[in-house]
Amino acid sequence: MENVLTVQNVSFSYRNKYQTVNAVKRADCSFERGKAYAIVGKSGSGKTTLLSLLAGLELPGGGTILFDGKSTQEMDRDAYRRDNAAVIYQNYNLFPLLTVMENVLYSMKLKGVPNKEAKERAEKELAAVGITPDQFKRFPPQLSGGEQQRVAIARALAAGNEIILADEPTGNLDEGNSEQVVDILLRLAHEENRCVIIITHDAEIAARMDAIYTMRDGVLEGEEHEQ
Amino acid sequence: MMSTVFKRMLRRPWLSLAGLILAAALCFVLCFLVRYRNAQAAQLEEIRNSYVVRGVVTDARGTKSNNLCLNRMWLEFIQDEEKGLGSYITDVRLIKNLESKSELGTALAVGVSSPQTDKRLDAALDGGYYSEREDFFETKDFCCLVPEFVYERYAGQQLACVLTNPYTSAGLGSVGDNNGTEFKLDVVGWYKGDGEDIILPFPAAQRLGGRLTNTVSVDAISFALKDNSQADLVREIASKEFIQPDPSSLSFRPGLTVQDRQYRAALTEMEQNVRRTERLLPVSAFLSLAAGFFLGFLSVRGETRTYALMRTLGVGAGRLTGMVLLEQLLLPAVGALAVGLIMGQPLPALVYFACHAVGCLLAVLRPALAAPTKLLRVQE
Repeated sequence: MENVLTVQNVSFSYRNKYQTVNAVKRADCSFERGKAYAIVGKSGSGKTTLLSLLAGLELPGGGTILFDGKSTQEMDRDAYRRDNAAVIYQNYNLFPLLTVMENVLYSMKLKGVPNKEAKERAEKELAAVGITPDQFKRFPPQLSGGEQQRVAIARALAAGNEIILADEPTGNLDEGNSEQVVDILLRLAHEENRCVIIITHDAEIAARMDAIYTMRDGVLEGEEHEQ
Repeated sequence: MMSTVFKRMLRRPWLSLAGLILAAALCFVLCFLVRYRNAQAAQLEEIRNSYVVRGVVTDARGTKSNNLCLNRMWLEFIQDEEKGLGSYITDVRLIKNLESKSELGTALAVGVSSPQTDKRLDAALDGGYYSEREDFFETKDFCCLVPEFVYERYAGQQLACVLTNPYTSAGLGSVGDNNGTEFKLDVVGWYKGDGEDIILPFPAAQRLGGRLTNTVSVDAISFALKDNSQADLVREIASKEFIQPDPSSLSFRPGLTVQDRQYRAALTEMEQNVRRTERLLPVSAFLSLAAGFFLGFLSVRGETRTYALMRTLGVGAGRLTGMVLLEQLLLPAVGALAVGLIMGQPLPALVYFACHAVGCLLAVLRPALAAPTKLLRVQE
């Protein structure tokens, strides 16, 4: 399979109130379409920062991240996030003033998908993640955590982006919901040929992925462990 | 995306309404102050223009302003545009008194120069003749106005009378012979009032009086100031020839009183009000504009997380700025401009709106330019 993302000797530091934090000291890895990856590591090891770099939300301080052979530093990163990389957050990050349906439609509207087509896709993806039509007009705060997370996944799915980056997507969910979410993400990788990268603390979830990277003190360690 | 903006506004109606009302209220304060200041300034200007400050020539003691028997020198000084008061005054009213014996009885024949009387005499003489004459003191138009109640009897006729200098009691007689021959005045109009005096054009009275004394004399002079604020200057120039009236004065020189006390009293009070408002205006304007700025700034700042989230979904900085400005400025703009138009003060409303917009713009720079993850991290 072909590499969709290649991380070459990437480092990143930022300054907080008190000091400069070297969040990512060195990362070298590659990600392929059709596979699901887990990045594991302790809190503060730099996993989320690496995810932000992969999503084009931050620029590497050193090294390069290539998307289909093109450096993210040199491309329109707004377009990259809109068209290629979707992020799912632990705390869902849905728009509280938009309904479930409108949240899912939002990414498609950004891309200029025609209304009718966007609505059909949104209904299909919401149904795929187990959101019932009577919930479409509800607002995120009216849903449970698991339901909100599934809406966030539906938003990423409907956008049709080939890279799905999920930052502890099951962190706030119970066991049943967690399993459901992981199933959806694995299906995305294996059936829809997308590249799914999950950050997780959960060893069981990590074990279900196709490959695992470990982040230790800002360094992405070890080989890719094929399952 | 526009629909999303409007939906967000409609789904937090109280916040949107608060934005509109606050903007309208702050704008109202600003517009009200500007309007109040302008109204006061206009009122001040109106007082300056509407008050007619007159200067009156009196005797040295200031006890009488008629029967002064002033010679031509004083009149010339008043009308002299270079050395006298001519440049600063208007509506000079002159009175020349003569004693008249006629069918109406013994009364005064008063030669007057005033806009009202001049107009009437001018109209009687087919217009433009009397008031535009250059030989002011050489007129031969011996006409007069009589009291209203006798006008019908003399309309279009002549009134025979014998004129006398009231100060010497010497008979003047008719013009030309000075021997007591009856003198005739054309009755060309009437004046309102129940007196028995007859009113002559000032030059005619002057000429008739000149026959007696062989000199020009004026019994009363008053004038209006062209510019009320020049009262002190007029006093200063007048002091070359006139004295300041004083009840204990023994001077033979006439006095001149510029009657501006009431004008000054009204003006002083209004000027104080305007000064107070002008001191208050910058402070209040600053507070209103600063409040507008912070209202705009904080309303955007409160939505930073949402805007950062939009950025993570791929909304570009420019597009985000446009959406935020539309979302945060639409209702304040409606509120501010509505108040501005209703109060007839569009400029302060625009200034207020500009401050509000600058506040929004500064606050939107952060979500538009900073890394979205940083903002989301801070918010968490």
